[in-house]
Amino acid sequence: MTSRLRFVLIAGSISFLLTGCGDAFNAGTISYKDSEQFTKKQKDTPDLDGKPQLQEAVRKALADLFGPRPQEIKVPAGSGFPEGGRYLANYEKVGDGVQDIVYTEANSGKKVAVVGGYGLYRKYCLHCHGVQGAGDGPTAEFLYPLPRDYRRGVFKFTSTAPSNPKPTRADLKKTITHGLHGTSMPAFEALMSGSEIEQVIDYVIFLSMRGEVERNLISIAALVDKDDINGITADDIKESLDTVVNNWKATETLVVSPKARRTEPTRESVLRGRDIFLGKKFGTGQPVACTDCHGLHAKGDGSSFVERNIFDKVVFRRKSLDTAIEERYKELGDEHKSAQWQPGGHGGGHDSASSELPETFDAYKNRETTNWDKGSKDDWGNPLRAANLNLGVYKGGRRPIDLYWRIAKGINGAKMPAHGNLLPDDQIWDVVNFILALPYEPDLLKDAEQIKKSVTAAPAVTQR
Amino acid sequence: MSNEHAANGHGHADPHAHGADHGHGHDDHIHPAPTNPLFKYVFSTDHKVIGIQFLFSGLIFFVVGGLLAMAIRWQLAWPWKPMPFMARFMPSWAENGYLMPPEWYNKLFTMHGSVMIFFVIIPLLTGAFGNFLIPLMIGARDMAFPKLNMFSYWFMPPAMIAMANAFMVPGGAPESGWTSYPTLSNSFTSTPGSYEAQTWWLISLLFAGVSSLMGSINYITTIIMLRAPGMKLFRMPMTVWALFITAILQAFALPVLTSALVMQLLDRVAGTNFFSPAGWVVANGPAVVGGGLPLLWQHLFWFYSHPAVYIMILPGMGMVSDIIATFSRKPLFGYKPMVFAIAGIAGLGFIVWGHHMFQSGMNPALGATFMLSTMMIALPSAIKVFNWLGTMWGGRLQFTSSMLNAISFVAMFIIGGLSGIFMAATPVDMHIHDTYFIVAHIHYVLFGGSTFAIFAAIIFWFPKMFGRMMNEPLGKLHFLLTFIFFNGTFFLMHIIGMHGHPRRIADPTVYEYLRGTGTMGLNQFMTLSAFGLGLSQLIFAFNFLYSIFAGPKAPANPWHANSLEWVATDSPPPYFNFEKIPTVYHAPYEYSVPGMENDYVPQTQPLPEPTAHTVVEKA
Amino acid sequence: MRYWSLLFALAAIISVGIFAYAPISPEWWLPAGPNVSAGHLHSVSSAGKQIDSLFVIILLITGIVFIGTQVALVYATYFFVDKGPNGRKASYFHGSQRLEVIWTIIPAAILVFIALYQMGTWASVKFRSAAPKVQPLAQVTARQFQWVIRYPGEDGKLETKDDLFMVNDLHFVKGKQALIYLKSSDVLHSFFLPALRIKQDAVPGLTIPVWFDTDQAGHYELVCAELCGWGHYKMRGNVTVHETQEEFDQWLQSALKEQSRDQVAAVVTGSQGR
Repeated sequence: MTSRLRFVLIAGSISFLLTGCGDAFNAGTISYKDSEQFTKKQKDTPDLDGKPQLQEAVRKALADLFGPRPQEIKVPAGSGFPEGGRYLANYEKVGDGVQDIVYTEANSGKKVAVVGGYGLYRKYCLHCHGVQGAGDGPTAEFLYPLPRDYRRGVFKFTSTAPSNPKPTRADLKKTITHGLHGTSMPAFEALMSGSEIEQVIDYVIFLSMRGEVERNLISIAALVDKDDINGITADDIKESLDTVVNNWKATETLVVSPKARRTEPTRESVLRGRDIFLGKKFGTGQPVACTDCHGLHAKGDGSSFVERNIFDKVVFRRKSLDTAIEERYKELGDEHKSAQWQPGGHGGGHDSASSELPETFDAYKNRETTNWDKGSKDDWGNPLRAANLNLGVYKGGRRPIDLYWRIAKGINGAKMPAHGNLLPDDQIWDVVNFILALPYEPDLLKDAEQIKKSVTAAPAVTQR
Repeated sequence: MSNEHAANGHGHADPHAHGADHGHGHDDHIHPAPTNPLFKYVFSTDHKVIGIQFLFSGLIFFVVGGLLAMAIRWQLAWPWKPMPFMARFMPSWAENGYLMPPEWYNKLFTMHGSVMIFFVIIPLLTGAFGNFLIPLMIGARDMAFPKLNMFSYWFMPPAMIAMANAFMVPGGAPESGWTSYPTLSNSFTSTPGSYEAQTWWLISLLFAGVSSLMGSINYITTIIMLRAPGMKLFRMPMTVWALFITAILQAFALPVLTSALVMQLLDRVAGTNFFSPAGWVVANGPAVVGGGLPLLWQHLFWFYSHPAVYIMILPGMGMVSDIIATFSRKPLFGYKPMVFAIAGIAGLGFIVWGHHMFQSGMNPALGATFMLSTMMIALPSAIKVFNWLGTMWGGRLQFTSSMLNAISFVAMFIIGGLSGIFMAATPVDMHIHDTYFIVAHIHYVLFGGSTFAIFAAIIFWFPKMFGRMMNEPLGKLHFLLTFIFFNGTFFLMHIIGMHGHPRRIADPTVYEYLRGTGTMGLNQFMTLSAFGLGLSQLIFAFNFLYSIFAGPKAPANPWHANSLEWVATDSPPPYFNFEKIPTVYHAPYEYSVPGMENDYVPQTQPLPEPTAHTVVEKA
Repeated sequence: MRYWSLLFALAAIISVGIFAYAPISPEWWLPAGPNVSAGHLHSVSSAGKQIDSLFVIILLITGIVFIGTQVALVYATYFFVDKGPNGRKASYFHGSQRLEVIWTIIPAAILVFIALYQMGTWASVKFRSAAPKVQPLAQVTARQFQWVIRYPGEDGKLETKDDLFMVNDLHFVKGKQALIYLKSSDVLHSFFLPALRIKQDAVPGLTIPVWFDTDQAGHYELVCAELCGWGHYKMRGNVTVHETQEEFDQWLQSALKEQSRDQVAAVVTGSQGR
């Protein structure tokens, strides 16, 4: 029944000087901004550059489906929101007028006017995540990592698989409630009530749907000739929407459940986990390459990523990659030179050949540029680095199940791949145990170089 | 009062041009006044011109700081609502429906505090009035170092440009408060304003500091070396005493601030680590080498900034003492105790900085000693209040707008002083530290105190500065509205502060105990009052500008005061101030001397013998 | 002209009136505990009670001084106003040594009294030697913009593998001294419990013990009182005071269980796990 409802909701502000009224911050109109795919030539994604008619058609389709402005929300039919998406806003259009949206509190039976997902999002989230959920709010620019752009429908920390699935409501709820430790995403548990968080989840999903439908429509329109007025058909629109909606609806069935209980975190399990981390193969498992990204000492300084020094210069000092690489190469040269003059330093300072770095600048630049372009960016094109596992900070959560999900199914949109097909569950639990033990026992990786050598150079040992 | 008794028997109104005057009984060597307007009005070495330059730049920044304050108040009363009118100047807010981003709130109060303290109150009190009044009041032709004086003003524009530039750099204006506590301020990843703007803030303050330092050296030298014959130290007006002691305070405290600023600047741009602990990481940024401690900054900063609080109030006290005595037509009560009280405040001012740090993690035993010295500093302040009351007692009070502002300085300073005792009590400070109680306190001292003193002083010395009178009815209207709206804005801050409303939070409604109509209602009331306060200043601005050009011509001594600037020269004084360096016979507080025809005895006129001996010595 | 004095009188009367009204309004007075609706307007912690009584004492002393000085000011501005050329002349005196001595010594005595009187309270709430000899409740690490609270697990020791990690969620037991170790992981923050009158900055590089108690169970708020960046205002924490140790232990157990979860739960509680 509810799936056929098509609400028109109004998010607005009626009171002005009253406080305590939840909608006071709704005043002041905002409007959806076109995504950059509309008018700008894109490198990797389709765009509608130079196709004004099709741009208009996509805009119209979006307005028909989701409402023309953030303040005027249409909920697409069959989108699967709780109660048909009523809690996205605080007013409902009835005939010519509007009426408050209320909900009945479960325990007290009181009727409460909702603030609505839009209002809460606007108050708490918009300044980072932006009007259309593009992660481009005014505060966002100086944060690392950057706030999520919902428009791809990809969320990093989910409990679902396979590749890039939608998060469950529980996943989103966990992120909003507890924040993402180690990022700028705060925990909202102390700022919003449970039902308010649910409203925000609705709105985040709404924005994500809108953004993904926008992308889909642009992909379709990009293939169409620019003067074709009927380039986007009603079927196209419906299909674009349905794909997205169905993905969101299906997500609850895609939750990955570990087949085995967690192995007791015994010394053996931890050491086994460490060896797996360092690339050793056990039983039916495949060797995994954790150290390529996380580094031998799990400091997040693996060789697939651009050097941390260069990363810092580009991300935090806003230098161009080339400048950063040049500067770093110079620094390396200086370090190399001064090392020679130290007691025990190689070369003794007499051999002029050894005062040169072992690697030419071009080779260095080539390698680091590739590392940056290929290794150090997530699917959104934002800079990325591997986690330092020594800190005891786990963005996706520190429960064993969270870490299991991170290892078994990876981090969506980021470089962390799924290992569920490489490692049996008991070995994943070993790695979980190792990761949870590492901050308390930094000595675990003291001899990482030797262990790594022994596990990789002597496969005979692993084939016991 | 009437302004008709213009000229008194001792006016030296001499119609002669004085440019060619060489030596007038003293070893004066008087240069002719510059004729090139560039040197007459812009790069002038004349202390009067420099004082007026400081006055204008201070008042312009007063407007800027005031507008920032309005924006702060708006956000506090109606969080996240688009600001009427002013938001339109923020094009970057448009796409968010003109909702203020939260970091902007931090920028607003940071800039409000910095601008008001470093560009308004200090330059107005010491720069404008210090420059204008000191030579005139002690009977000198100019400052001891006129060129240094000129430089002291021209170090301000770079400071102002740097501060304004802080708004334009990536990340926007600084966000770490006017106190700029590390590690928020020295790690460039901590918040957008610390990315680059904080560096500009530091540069700006360095320039402002150097400007103040040059000024204070000049004041000290001038007051020691260039007093007119007979102007013994204990014959100087309170204004000069206050400015003298303030200058000493500045000269001793500013080097510490300067070094602290340089240290933070080096931390930010040269990779030193004075204030960051070892291996410190802020907001996922790169780790620093570290090895420093954030508390070091607080010690250094407050070692300057606590004396700075007195730098911002002592000149006001001095000027108010003169104004109250003049309009009470009565000698200043306890002239010497007043001087000692100022000196006491200045001396104790150097050993109380720790009271800003009771909750900072500093050793609490140290806090206990700072508490004792802080309690003691309330004493000289109390003595001053009692003496002002004593001065008015039995007087013949003339409620000019200047006097009204001066009286309200006393009334408001009492509130600001008494609320200070709460903070001095360390356990009570534990609750009210960093709440609106502090905000109320600082505004009662710096607005209720210093700003009312500035209003009083501008109206009082306006005739001397511009040769015209300000409009009295408008002045009174401005005072009335300012007084009402000031109290409406700031008094209730004590209440919400007592209730635990933290300062510097962009949205009080986040907290349940602040969400109710009791607290938010007060916030809205305060905001409306603040707008009223802001609008009332338009009256003053109009009065000020109108009177400069069209006010009635001022006589040499419109208030029938005794000190040299009134009795020994014209309004406005000529270049090089005095036709002839006057000779001084007594302190400038001989009003209503029994048996005299006039109710005032200029400093240039000897007292009738018996009175001078019996009464002056006693005081 | 003399009516200007009424303006000052009015301001003083309103000021006194506001402070006279404040204690009977729960939203104006010092913040109370969770049972404020029942008319409990006093603080609910032992330190808070001492601080409140000090506050009241200082309020009374300053109130008396305030009223005294304002009466003198209003009196002077009313009665000694200039009544034109035919009015009385101002009296001519330069001061009084006796008065100066009196009004130096009396305030000095009062100020020294206040200073010494509060030393004990200060020592008992801040001096490290006064810290209760109890097992620490938690380690509280402030970061932008949340409170990371780490409770000792079953072994009762902090910084071990079985620690419980919570965000913005402080729990302790009614009537028991709670001792926390306060740290910061990035910039300055300040741990402020308004209802308990506890405030202490969290300083990068320092670990500072803070202790507090309360005699009322219920929900309280934890405030960040030191500017810590763009999200400073967001840094709110929930405080839950449990009626009994059993209740606290129960909560701790369930939270620990959630933290060690290794299966997808049938019902997602979503409240405690990290």
